Formats: sequence, C-alpha cells, structure tokens
Amino acid sequence: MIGNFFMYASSLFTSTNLAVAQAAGTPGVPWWVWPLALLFSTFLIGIVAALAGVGGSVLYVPIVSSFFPFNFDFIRGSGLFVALACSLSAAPKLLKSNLASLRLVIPLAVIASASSIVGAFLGLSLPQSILKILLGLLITGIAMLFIFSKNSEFPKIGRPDALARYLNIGGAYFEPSSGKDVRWTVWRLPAGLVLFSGIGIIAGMFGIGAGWANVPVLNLLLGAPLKIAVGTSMSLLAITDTSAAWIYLNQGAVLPIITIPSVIGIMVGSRVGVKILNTAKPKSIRYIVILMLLFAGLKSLLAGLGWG
Amino acid sequence: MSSQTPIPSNNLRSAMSDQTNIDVEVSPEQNKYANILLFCSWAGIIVMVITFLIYMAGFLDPIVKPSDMPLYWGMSVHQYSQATNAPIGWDWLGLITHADYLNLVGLAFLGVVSVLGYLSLLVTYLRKKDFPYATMVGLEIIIIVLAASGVFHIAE
Repeated sequence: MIGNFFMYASSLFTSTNLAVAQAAGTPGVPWWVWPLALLFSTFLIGIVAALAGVGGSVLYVPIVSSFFPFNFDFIRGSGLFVALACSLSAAPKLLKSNLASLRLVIPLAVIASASSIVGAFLGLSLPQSILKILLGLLITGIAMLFIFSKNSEFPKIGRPDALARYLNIGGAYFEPSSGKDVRWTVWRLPAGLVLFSGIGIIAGMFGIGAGWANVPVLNLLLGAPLKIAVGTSMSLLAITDTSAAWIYLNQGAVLPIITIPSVIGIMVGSRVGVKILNTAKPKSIRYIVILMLLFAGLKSLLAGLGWG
Repeated sequence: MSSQTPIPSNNLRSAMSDQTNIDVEVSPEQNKYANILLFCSWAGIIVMVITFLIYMAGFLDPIVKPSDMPLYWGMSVHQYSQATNAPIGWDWLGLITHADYLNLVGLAFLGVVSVLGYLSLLVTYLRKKDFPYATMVGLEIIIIVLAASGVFHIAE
C-alpha cells in the first residue's frame, strides 16, 4: 500500500512539475497558481526528503530552479530559509535526546557559518550561468555521493586528537535497538574543521543547506556514530544557514511570496514523511531521490550552458 | 582503531578515559538551548503564516501586490531592487506597515533564534568558566550579528 502511495506521489510530483514547467512559459497563468503550486511541490519534496533522509533544500533549489519562473537569486535565498526552518524544527528533539552534541556543533559552526557568509557573497556576485553550471555539477556529484558513499553506523576510530580532547568532545546516547547507552567521541577534528569551511562556502553559495556533506564528514572522517552525525548535522544547519540567510535577506534576495509557501510546504511535508517512514521502503525512495537529483543537476547544468 | 559500539572496546575506553566529563544525561545548557530553539522557531513560523495570510488577502496596502509579483520575480535581485525601489539592509523595517514587508518580520525572527540560544549558552559557559566554549560562542554571536547588521555590501 505504501509502495502504491509512493508511486502515486512520485508520479503526481512529476506531473505537477511538468504542468508547472508548461505554465512557466504560458503568459496569462493566474498569479496565485505559482505560490499554490510551490506549496504543493514543496509539500511533496518534504515527504520525499524525510523518507530518503536528506535535507529538503538539496532537492528544493535544483527542482524549483528547474520548473518555476523565479529568478535563481530568490530561489537560493528561499533555499536557505527552507534549510533553516527544517533545522530549527528538528534540532530541539535531537538535542534533548542527546542525538546531537552542542560540544561538537559549536566549534564546527564557527568555521561553517563564517565561511557561509563568504559563500553567500560569492553566490550573489557570480553570473547566474556560472552558478547554474556549478550547481549542476554539484547536484550531480551529490547524487554520486548518495550512490557510492557507505556511512558507518558505528565507525572505527583511533585515539582522539589533541583538539578534540582539549574541547572534551564526546557524549553518550541511548540506542533502542541494543537497549544500551552508546558512548562516543571523535578524532581528526582539525581536518574536519578545514572541510567544514568548504562546506560552509557551498551552503551559502547555493542555498542548499549542507546535510549531504555534513553527515559523511562527521561520520566517516570524524568518526561520530551515524545517529550523532545526522543529529549534529541538523543542529549545525540552524547556525550555518542563519549567517548566509541574513546576507540574502539584507540584499533583498528573499521574496516572501516564494519563501513562505516553500517553508510551510516542506515543513508539513517532512512531518508527513516522518509519520509514514516506518512503513516505507527507504531503499527504493533513495533511488528515486538519486534520479531526481541527477535529473535536476543535469537540467541546471544545461541551463547554465545555455542549452536548457 | 576501535569501533564506537554499545560495549566499548579497550582502545576506545582508553581513548575515552582522557575525557572525564562525558555524561549520558543531556547537559542543562543543551536542554535550555533546545527549548529556546523550540519555542522561538514556532513563534517565528506562526508570525510568518499570519503575516503571509495578511499579504495574500491584500490587506495593509502592500507596496508590490501579490498579483503584480509575476512581473518581478524573474528579475535578478539587483534588477528587482531597482524596479521596485526595494530597500537594502534594515531599511525594510521602516516599511512594515505594508503587508509585503511585514512578512519579513517572521523570517527575520527565524534568523535571530540561534543568536538567542547562543546568548544563553554564553552566560552558562562564562558561569562555568568554560572559556574555550565561551570564546567560540561569543565569536559565533559576533559573526551572525555582523551578517545580520548589513555592514557587508555587494558592489553592483
């Protein structure tokens, strides 16, 4: 039943986007169709993103820029608020259940948020054709990352580095599957900080959040257990995206008629997605997300090259 | 090398023995920070929804009516700014009697939530004399405030 529901939802999603794309080239479409279509599309993106375990804005920016008539500047500004709102609504629960650690979030956030400001300025300064080419390459790369990266639930780590020991980073959480508390710490923190500066720039530049990059770095490089990596990444976005979101807001690159339906649609959709998560098949959903990313990435690439 | 499993191996145990303050319980400052995020983000979202409905209903004399937005939303931010005389930085605060700029109140509030949480963390870390974390939290507040202040501009 869930399989049918999902097939129905994905075909509905495709047909909605095609209808929207056709309407984009059709003058005379009533103005209210756009925010309504955006609300509906982002609701579906929210469901798919929650089921696939990805952040909504990584799907939002390429899909909305492919099918809606809005300028890329405003879509990126909205993407940051989408990521920010999702993070703010998810982080409290994760922090309260110790699945996110403030002692890990704080040092990474300083680096990532400062560099996201640089990214935001780059995004607002570079020509849009270049940005679309870069976004196309990035989204295609993220799809590849989803195909090939193998996260580890409990990574093997060595002795924590001096900085991680000095900052006393580590914690414990209750693991229901084993009925035990899992104690964890991290290593290779300096290398992680360097990578987070790059992640911050990309997040600010394209408005796509950064969970897709945060989680592998936290899990595979720093050695945080997967649940801690996901929770910490989600809490981290609330800070990283705040700095970049302010740059876009101050430059006037946030249009409420685009941003607010998007935020509401994704938030409601992701809540629905979480509710049906237990009965869905994550693997097939993940494949659909990968296909959507590949499609949106290639479309953005072609648009940047002037062929789309 | 050791795995971070429910039953820590000897290596990990020795690695962790360097850390004396690891608790299974959520720290009070983390709990407080989570509560601030929870209540403030919902407050921001509720304000955002209400102001958006006001805008869509055509109340409070918007400067750019929703029905006129298709003329502008395809423009770049610089073109939009010139075409609608849209303010840069915090000048929009002077226009919040108009529904379209009133919408920015809820969005801006979402951008303040993390700073509120961080201010509570700063007080806690200073009280606990945890100076490395107090410094990083203070630095983060400065970064966000600078980003929000509008002191950074993009040359057109």
